[in-house]
Amino acid sequence: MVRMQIIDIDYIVKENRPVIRIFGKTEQGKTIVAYDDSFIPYFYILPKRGKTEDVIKIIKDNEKIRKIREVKRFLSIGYHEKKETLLQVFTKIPKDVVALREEFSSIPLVKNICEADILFKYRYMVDKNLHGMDWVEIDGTQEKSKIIKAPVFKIKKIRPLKNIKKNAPLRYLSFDIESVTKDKERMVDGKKDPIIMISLAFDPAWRGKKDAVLLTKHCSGKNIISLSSEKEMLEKFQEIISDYDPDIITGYNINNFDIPFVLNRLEKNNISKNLGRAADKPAFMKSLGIYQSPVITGRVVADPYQIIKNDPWIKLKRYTLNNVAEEFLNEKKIDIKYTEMEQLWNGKREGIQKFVEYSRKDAVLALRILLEKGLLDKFFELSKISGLLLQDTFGGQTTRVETSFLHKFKELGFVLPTAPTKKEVTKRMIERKKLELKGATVLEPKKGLHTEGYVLVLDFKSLYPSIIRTFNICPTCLVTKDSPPGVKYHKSPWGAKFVDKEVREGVLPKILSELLKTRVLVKKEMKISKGEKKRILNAKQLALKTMANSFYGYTGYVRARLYVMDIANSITAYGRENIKKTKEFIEKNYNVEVIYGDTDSVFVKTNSSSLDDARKIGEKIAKDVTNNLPGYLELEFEKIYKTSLILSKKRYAAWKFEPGPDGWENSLEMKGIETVRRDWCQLVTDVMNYVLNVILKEGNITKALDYVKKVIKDVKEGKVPLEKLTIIKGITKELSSYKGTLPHIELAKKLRRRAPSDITVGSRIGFVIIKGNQMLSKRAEDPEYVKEHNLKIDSDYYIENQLLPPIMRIFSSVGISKGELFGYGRQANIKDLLSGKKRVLNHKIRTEPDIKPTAKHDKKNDTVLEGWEEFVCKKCKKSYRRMPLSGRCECGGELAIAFHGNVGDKVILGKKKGNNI
Amino acid sequence: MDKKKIVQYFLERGFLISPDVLEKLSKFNDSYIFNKIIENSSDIFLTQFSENKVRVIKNLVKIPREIKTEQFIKFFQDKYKKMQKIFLRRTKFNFVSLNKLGKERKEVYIFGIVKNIKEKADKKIVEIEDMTTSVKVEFSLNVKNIDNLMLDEAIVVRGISAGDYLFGKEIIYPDIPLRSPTKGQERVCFISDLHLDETPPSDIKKFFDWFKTQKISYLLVAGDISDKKSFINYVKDLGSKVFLIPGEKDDSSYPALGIKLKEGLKNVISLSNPAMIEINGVKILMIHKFNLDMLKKRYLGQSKLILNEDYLVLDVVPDIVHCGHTHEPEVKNYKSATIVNSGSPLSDFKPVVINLADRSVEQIRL
Repeated sequence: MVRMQIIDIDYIVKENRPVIRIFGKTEQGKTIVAYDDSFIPYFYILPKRGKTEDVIKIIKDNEKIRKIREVKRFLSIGYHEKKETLLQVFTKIPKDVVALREEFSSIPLVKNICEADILFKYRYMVDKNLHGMDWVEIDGTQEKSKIIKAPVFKIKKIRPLKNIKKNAPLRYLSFDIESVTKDKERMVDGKKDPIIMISLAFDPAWRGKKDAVLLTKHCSGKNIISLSSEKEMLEKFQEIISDYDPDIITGYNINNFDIPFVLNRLEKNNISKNLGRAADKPAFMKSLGIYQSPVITGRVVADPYQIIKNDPWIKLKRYTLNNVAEEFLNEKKIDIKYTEMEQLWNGKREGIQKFVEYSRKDAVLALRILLEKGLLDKFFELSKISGLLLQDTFGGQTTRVETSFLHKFKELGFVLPTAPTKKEVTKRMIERKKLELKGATVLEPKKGLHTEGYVLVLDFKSLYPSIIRTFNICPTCLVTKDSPPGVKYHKSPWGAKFVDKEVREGVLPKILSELLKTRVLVKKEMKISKGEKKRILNAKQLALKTMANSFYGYTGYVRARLYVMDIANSITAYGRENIKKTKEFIEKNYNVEVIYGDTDSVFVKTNSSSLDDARKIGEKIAKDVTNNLPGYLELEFEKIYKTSLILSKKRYAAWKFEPGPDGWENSLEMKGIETVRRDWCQLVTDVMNYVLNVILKEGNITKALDYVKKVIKDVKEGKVPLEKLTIIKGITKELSSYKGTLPHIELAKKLRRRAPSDITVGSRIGFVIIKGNQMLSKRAEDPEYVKEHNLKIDSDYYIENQLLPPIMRIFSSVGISKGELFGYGRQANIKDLLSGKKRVLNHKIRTEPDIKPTAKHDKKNDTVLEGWEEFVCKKCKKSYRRMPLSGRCECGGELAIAFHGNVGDKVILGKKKGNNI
Repeated sequence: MDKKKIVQYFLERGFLISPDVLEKLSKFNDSYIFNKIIENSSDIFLTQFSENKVRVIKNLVKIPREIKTEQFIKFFQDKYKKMQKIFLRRTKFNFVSLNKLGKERKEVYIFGIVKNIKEKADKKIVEIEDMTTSVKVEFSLNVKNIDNLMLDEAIVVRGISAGDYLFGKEIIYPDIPLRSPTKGQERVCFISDLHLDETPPSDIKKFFDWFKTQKISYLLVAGDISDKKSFINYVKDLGSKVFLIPGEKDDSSYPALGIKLKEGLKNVISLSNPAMIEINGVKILMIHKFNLDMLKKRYLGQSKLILNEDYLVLDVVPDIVHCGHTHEPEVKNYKSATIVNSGSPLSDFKPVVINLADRSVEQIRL
């Protein structure tokens, strides 16, 4: 009898039989590997009505088939009263399933093939009722193995243990590699440059060491192991992994950099890629479309960079380790530029030490971020809830939902259809486009500043899951032509028909009910728990909520196996109807006004100016509405807005008061006027925050206006620090595939030309706009470069394009027009008014100036530049990286030289370049 | 002025003057006229000096400070013309002008300069231009040399034309010819990357002590000396002629003018990076940072400057290539060219000695 918690599962083929291997940990933290060679792969064939025998005749002699069984299952799309006869086809090895799926789907008598694309390990888990991270009890015998270091058990019987709440004690290893190249024109490359250093951090400690650094030079310091060659270092690295036997391997950005690099170097040095727990499965990179993720058998690779980046609740301006460490741990790491690294490594002793400590810190910080912030807690829970192995929980939501369905279907006797073909997906996309689907609706808001009478915010708890449960929405409940006539159903506002609950309770509502009921219990327990236990319970309730909320999105996802267009649309249609009904009910029965509503919340304006009274009203309304609405729909009182400024749909700011443990807690809430709006620089955020604070909390519009005037003056006088003016945008695709000119893309191209850089898809670039006569996008420049070369900021841009638009939206929504603000006529330009100038009529605002020689304001001479970056056509403004051979633009126009935002016809080089000695 | 002094004056500025010019100049007494000559001569200096056994074939002596738009155009067109000449010499294809590509499907050879490279998942679209127009060429990823195709290279493409599109089947570079090695006389020693500000003086002294015992006529230094004064001290009393080019540590621009040494050094000639000299009939290319592709593509790297002509076109084929920068000693042959790198005393230093009489190569272990 062995008890262990599942960490990872794989399978191998031995003597033409598949063998499932389960890598697990005991309660004492020992690694155990259990294997099961008694499980056989299978899939289902749905023959055409009455053609079962014929199909059997056709396929039975196929040598890949082991045996065929006739089974009865419910089909999952549409309500079918009876189970259908399917053929459960058992094959010899999992690969055969894929081969036969192809072969058999072209047989005319076969209507459909089901569950023929389930990963074998999940086939095993579903059939044995195992979820990822489950505790299991194994009846079996211990054996010896040459390829696995841990004790090996042959499984006779295996069952899940559902009552163990804790996780087994796990071992975490974080690592970070360093490599340098003399070639200044490119980044380090795993195929060309050797690894010179590997830093490691351990939790718990490895033989008394919390961290260690391996390097190929001599260096003195704590826990430093010097090796004589890269090969020796890589072998030592493997040795440490094998000795420490980590469960989780982590490191910042290891998925994209460190692991692929290490694999390349292992190959170059002719060392096996054995990093996992089974010597017959070398580590490799799995490709999923354009992304690659590492696979290390028996261990889980968790990259905090990817976890943080993909978390919808965490929004940062930059995702570098430096920034994240500062945000999460309040720690700054030593910064060394790529260009410095090679010099340090090939230089004196002190330089090497600096480099070593820099690398060590990288490994240590990554581990700390993972552990201290409990980044994995949510995934442990998601693994248990969805059924996915921990390694697979980092990926997309689709697999979570589908594995969840698989488990439930198995329990209830349903069969899952195979994933849609490309043709099918295209068909679905076209269908959706044709119908011009409506969104989740939003009631028309009452715009403006609301200060008299507090506004109640009432939310629907888990709206979409509630709708699904209330109206029994599920692919298995959809009335189709295959459903028996006369069955009891109800129609959604969209028009789709679903059978009533008494006829069949849908699988989806069942899954959601379980999730939500569990969540209620967990939250109750959380209230009376403390410390570590509370944190784990919080992770669990978050995971349950995340899981529940992913189902709605899944139903509308064209690549989903259970996609049915009518379902997602029915859910949103019910949502729309729900909000409308709620508004009508509230306005009919209470002396209040619904001033806004969005998908799952309503804003109710009262006459009250007392927080406690308003709350009482809110709670009563919520209770009454809940009682009046069908099923599981539940309205809750959330918070009060003392004052609110509604600009438009989905754009508002409010002074929020929420009931807390120590009374009312207040803060500013902003939607659509988010502080992390990526088009804006920090200055705009700061000004917006101040203005909103003053207007909402003090109601003092003049004060806000005076502040804005001062800021504009500071910008003009160049008194604003560059950090506040930096705009940060991300690169979402390959630079060459961008059409048109965008500032951050133009700058990225410039930066790449200047020096080797690590700018790739996914990088975020910070830029400021400098003064010049080129077009806007070409005047984006790196703030460091601007400082070094003392370039001037384009204050007009920052005032007209950054500050004024959002500021004016606020001021105008307060009912103040530009003219009325200052008592001037309506035609005055706001910028001039704010700067104190007398009104100017027809002031033309230049943002895309024509290219004219502007020179040191001498119209006779050409503009003289100090260097060159690009060439621009004087006629059509097209730009060229270098002078074309013909000497002219494609349109025939003459070309001019562009540099630092300026355009001219002549370059005069300044001080003699480059002579260093 | 004394003829010897005049020769010395020009030598220090990287010029070798021919006897007839020397005759005329000896009538002048001050260096004003000499400076004027130097200023107004073309950037790239080609000369013949029959008295001595050394000829400077290519040396960059001037970098224009004022550049107008027309110069950008001229510079680029110069590259085109020079590369075209080389291709015509080295290949026998009939090139089609890009504006004359017909609509029928047929195999063509085109010559042009790479304007743009777009990478797709399974192919590369390369835009190539010539003096008439530009055309897009589609290459599949397994065409040889497509991976290290760089912007602004001059190439010949064999392709199948299909209207305004071309399917590239082969990328052809001019390369250098295979012929029997040129032989001369006397011995030459090649070193580089002395990094005199970092290398322990004992290591440098070891080399020069050894060198003084060798009676080698020429010492070539391919850059990164890092300390002028120190270098001058080591070489000023050597009997051999010393040729020096800058490395990126000495001058970060490329191409780079010769390092300005003090006046009066009789045996040291400071040349640009890159530069080409001929010793007893054997052509030696001195270039600090080198890779084999440069011989195949007949182009010496990426220029950061705009000159009056394209200096980096390798129109003269070298017999020996002397390079450094990597700090890794290496001797290899490519067709009839020998490529030597002495490494650096900072890591691994093996000075190379070539006997021009039989082209034998020796790597010295100090």
